[in-house]
Amino acid sequence: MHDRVWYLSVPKSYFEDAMSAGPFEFITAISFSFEYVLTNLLFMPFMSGAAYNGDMATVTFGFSAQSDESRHMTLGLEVVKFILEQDPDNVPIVQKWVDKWFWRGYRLLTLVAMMMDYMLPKRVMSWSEAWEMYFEKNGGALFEDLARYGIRMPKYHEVASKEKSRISHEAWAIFNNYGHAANFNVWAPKQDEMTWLAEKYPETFDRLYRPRFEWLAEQEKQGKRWFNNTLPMLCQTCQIPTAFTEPDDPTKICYRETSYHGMKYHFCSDGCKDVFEGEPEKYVQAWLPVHQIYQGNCFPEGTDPTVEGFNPLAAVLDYYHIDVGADNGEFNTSPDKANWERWTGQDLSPGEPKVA
Amino acid sequence: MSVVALAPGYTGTVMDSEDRFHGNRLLYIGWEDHLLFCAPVCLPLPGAMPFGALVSDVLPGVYGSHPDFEKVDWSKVEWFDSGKPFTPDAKKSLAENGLGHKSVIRFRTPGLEGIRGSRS
Repeated sequence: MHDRVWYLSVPKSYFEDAMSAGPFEFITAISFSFEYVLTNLLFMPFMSGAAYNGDMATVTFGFSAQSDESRHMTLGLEVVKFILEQDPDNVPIVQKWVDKWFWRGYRLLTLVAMMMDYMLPKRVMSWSEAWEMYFEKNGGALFEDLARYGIRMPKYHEVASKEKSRISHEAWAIFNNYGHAANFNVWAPKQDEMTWLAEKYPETFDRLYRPRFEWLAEQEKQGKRWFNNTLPMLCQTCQIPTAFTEPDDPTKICYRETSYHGMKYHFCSDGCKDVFEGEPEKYVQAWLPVHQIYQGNCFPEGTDPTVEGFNPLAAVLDYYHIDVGADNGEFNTSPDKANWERWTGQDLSPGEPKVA
Repeated sequence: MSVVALAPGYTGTVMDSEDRFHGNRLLYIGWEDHLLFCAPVCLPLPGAMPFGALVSDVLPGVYGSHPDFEKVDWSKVEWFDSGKPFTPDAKKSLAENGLGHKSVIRFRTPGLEGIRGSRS
């Protein structure tokens, strides 16, 4: 499944990019940029969120992983400093890697932002608060320390700051568009959850996101649960649907494109476009799930797409090994909900506040 | 340089060349100010398809579920090709309208601002 399901191509392409980049870029990408600069954004909210909601299995895994991370981040930082101390010609090379891997790691963390703001019964903090604490403050201090080597803050960090009030909502919107093709359930946030979201995102939530979530909830109540029946445009670099908005206008999709050897390539942001333009021969090879589906490469072996009544979506979900009606779609009609209610005695019906 | 590689002259396979799409070409379409559809859509379409058929036969299936769709006045719609204003000729094909493989078009429907004016 990990090499088939559409949204899993996001982390897969991230790690394959690093693994095919040579050892020096790899260590800058993973040990430094991911396991040091961005690690707190994965582990702190993730593990705190798990603990806060009684998921001690995840916490146990998290503590174990964090002990590895502390070794890796020390290694990453020391290797990067060593490279910078060896030769001034290394500074622009390392800066380019820092820029690229900050942006790739930041886009990967979109999924964490969504999880923190929308998928925890009891929320620890908002993505916006986590970004302020763990990147703007902590990360800012780290880069002040590296300034003596000639390294500056990563390119487009100010875009990440502008986006902190939006990406979790934009990402949850992606999964509420395509939840029928995911292997987990999705749902519209309830009223008490939206009260929390409005409080944490006073500038954006009520104006831009509440109306569409309330509309989705209304459709579901009428038995017309809405999903998007057309596949999305994906970013060539990060492979996420291009649902991100212009840095200065959250009502407009951010379209970026470039041309290479006579063909167009599309991106969600300047950051992803820069990554492509840095090494186009690498990223023209991207296995983009939507394009692969349209090429006919995502059906089970032996499928004949020309037969009468062929259902491409059903064939793709079969190829993904998704158990339709159980794994995917709306939470409120899922076996997960029925099981949870049976095990805990809680009533998770729409209209009732979620009890933690 | 176009890639960092072990040896000079490295080239990669282009995974989305037009010849892989069974006679179709990819077209991306976005409806401005209607973010209920979280991103532009991607469709494989024949280059010979008349632009008018895209509007009459394809778009309703893609966007018809939105409450604003039935209110669209197609005579007032503004079209953009890669962000630049363009005036499609409904009788000419996608190809004749300059829409090649992986072109991206957007349409704006003035006055329609999405669910409760939220641009959704």
